[in-house]
Amino acid sequence: MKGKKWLSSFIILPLIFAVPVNKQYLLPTPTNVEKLEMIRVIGVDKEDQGVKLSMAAASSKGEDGGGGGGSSGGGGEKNYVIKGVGNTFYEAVEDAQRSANKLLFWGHADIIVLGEETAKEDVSKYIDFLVRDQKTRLSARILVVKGGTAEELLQKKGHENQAIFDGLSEQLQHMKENSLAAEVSLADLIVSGGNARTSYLVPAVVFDGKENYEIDGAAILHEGKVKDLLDEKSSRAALMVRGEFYRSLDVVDTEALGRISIDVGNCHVKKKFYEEKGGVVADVEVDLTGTLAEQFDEVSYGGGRYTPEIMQEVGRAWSEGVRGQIEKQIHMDLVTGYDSLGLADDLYRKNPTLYEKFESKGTMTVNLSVQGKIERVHVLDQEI
Amino acid sequence: MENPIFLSVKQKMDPNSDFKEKYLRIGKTDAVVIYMEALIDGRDINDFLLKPLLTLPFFTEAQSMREVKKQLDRGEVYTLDEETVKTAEDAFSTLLRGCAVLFLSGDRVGYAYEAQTANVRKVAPPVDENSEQGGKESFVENIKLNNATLRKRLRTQDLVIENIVLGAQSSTGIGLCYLENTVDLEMLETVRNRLKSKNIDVVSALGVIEEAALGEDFGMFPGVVTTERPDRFAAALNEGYIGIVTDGFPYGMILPANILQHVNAPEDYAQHPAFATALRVLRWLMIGVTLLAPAFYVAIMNFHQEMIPGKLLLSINKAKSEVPFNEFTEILIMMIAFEVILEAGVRMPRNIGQAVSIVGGLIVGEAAINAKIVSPVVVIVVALTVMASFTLPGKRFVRSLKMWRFLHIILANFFGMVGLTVGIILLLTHLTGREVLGVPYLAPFSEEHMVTGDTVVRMPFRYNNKRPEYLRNRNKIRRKREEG
Repeated sequence: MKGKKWLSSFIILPLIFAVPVNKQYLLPTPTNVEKLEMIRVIGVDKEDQGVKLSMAAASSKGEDGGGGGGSSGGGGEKNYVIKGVGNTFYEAVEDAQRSANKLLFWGHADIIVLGEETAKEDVSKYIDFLVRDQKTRLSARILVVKGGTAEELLQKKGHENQAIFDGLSEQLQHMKENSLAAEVSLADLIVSGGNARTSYLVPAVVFDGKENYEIDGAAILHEGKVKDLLDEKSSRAALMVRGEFYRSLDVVDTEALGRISIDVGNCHVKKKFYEEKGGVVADVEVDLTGTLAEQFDEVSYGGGRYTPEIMQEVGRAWSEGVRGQIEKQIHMDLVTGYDSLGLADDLYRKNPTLYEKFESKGTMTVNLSVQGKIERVHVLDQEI
Repeated sequence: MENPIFLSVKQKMDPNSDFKEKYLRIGKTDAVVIYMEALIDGRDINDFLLKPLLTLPFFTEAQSMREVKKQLDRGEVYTLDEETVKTAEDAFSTLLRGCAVLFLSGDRVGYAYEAQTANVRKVAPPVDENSEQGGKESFVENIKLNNATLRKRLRTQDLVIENIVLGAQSSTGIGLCYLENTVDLEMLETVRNRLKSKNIDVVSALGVIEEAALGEDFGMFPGVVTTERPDRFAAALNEGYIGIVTDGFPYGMILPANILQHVNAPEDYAQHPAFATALRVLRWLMIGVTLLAPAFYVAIMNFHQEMIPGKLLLSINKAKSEVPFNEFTEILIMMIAFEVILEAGVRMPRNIGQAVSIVGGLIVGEAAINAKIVSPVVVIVVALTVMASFTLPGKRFVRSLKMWRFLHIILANFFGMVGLTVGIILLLTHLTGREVLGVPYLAPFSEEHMVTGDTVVRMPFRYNNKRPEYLRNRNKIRRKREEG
């Protein structure tokens, strides 16, 4: 029994002393939840030689104004913007803290927005700071503002005066459902700074009118910097090859049916890497399946309009269109050295030895095959 | 009346108003029957003792005391339970047990005849332990009736009910029950010796017996299980446990207890194994809730706000904005308020106690929220904690959990999750170190027992054919009778 008591002491003492220690206190200090400023979105911009922070704080009382900026919030969460400027990130945080009534709390900051100019610089120092804060969520999602600043975005009222966090969350959800870009989290970016191989497709937000915003395409983040911005189609083509495609709606011009829309429901990608004539070759097979998304009352299904032959032709036209987009991305990657399609990263994971050869030569031959297949006419539950 | 034992009893008991003497003449011998009026059934004495003594020829025609004594020794009186009283102490003991004692003039002994009044509470459905699909009998205050109930459930010659008298003043009869071919004899001997060697005046509560049986036991979790259900008691004896029934108490005591007995309900064996397992899992979860929910709330609200979903945190914050106290104080206020209501409900008359508990709970909760003393979330957390505790069959076990709950709340308030972890480690250390009569409290979770399939998971009976190893019982396989 005595031995057990000693054993428990040995377990308990290290636990107590393993508590995260800050400057002043050995043991953690409790903070009342009422004294916390709940930050939901952190915006980072470049300010002359320093940093400008804009933070959307959630208000539990629903008051307007406060902090250093405007406010928004429709029927749901309300928030207001707190700003801080400094020569360093930490100074900007301190500045923001001075203007805030309560202790800034980043434990619920689920979205981090980077202005385009800021993102084109090295963002790794900001990421590094955020990651080191013990309350920051590593699952926080990153966004880049295309053609604007994070501060501008956080001031937007959005649809129906919606809180910026709610608005961006909905946009991110929409983005996932429609394969506009891939979700990139803080945890993903931790490794991006020192990894020259991998490129990330960070969702890019554009302003739509005076107060609205939407996610449109992606920004290529490579070696800790945003290198280029992709439009919606290019971003989607890249997602297909990366295997991160979920769903989309493609519009295709065909001879037989004119302009039609295809609901793309499935995208299987097979990638095979091998060495040939001293070079690295990648066989990429993209198999797409979709349905015609015409409305019921616009379809004359009884007249033999959707014959197998016509569907094959639609599939071919669709495949060509997708193929063109992917080839464009391949070309861009070869020219710039980015990895928007994720092929280099895949090669490294599957065959590191072959990757070394690719790295030394700096080029890869890609054999691309795209097969689009129309499964059935949407809405009409009939076999073609 | 020349009988030394009678004279000394009379001298001592004469001042008592319920001490009665009936003088009679049997043949040519003077005799007296003494009894305590409240303890015996007068009709039994008339019919089975006095009538034969005064009407049967071999008594009425007896010429001497020796002749009467000879007939008595031959058992001519119509009672089964009789014994010879040789000392005044024996006379007191039998008299106060509910016997009528016959003394013959010139004799040096007395004859005690069992004539205990039948004025006892009838066997009724259990009150404290609801029986669902189980027997509707419960123990009563009369030990003989309890023994009979037990015999009906275990009709085996291996069932032994040893009688031990405890209490110098109360002379309380105790039945030490066990299955002779199953129980661990060493453990039985320990309990028997402890009971016999215990010096106490009065058995005023079952705690006295518990303390006597367990010896020095300072564990916070109960070392015995008290039940008012004979079916549960009998089932425990069959497993190899020792049982104690006490005269004057409508409860049986099962020992040594382990954690499983406080969590598993007798009804589990009346359910489909899958359903019983689901209920057991639910109960184990509820142990976690009742023990940790308030402490967890205090920890995350003070230290780990990032663990709460953002929207929920906002809504909690809004609800809490006008409450002047911190979470720790709020929780303590509500926990104590609920405990007060529960305690009041127990002490109040049964018919209004339940209503007071419900109404009190609602009113206190509602009023505390309206008065901005506590936030609604705290009321929800505390209500959930209290409700979770009611899912557990072991009431005394729940009381122990309550004490630990408060310790966890305090630790969580000062150290957050780290404190909570330390509290859990302390609790586990206490539980793993606890032994009752040499049987570890967590023994059912030992590797060898887990395979028998009656812990959290209840396997069908056909797979559950071994008695618990940890009881060190001698008949390890069920349905197999071994000579003890």
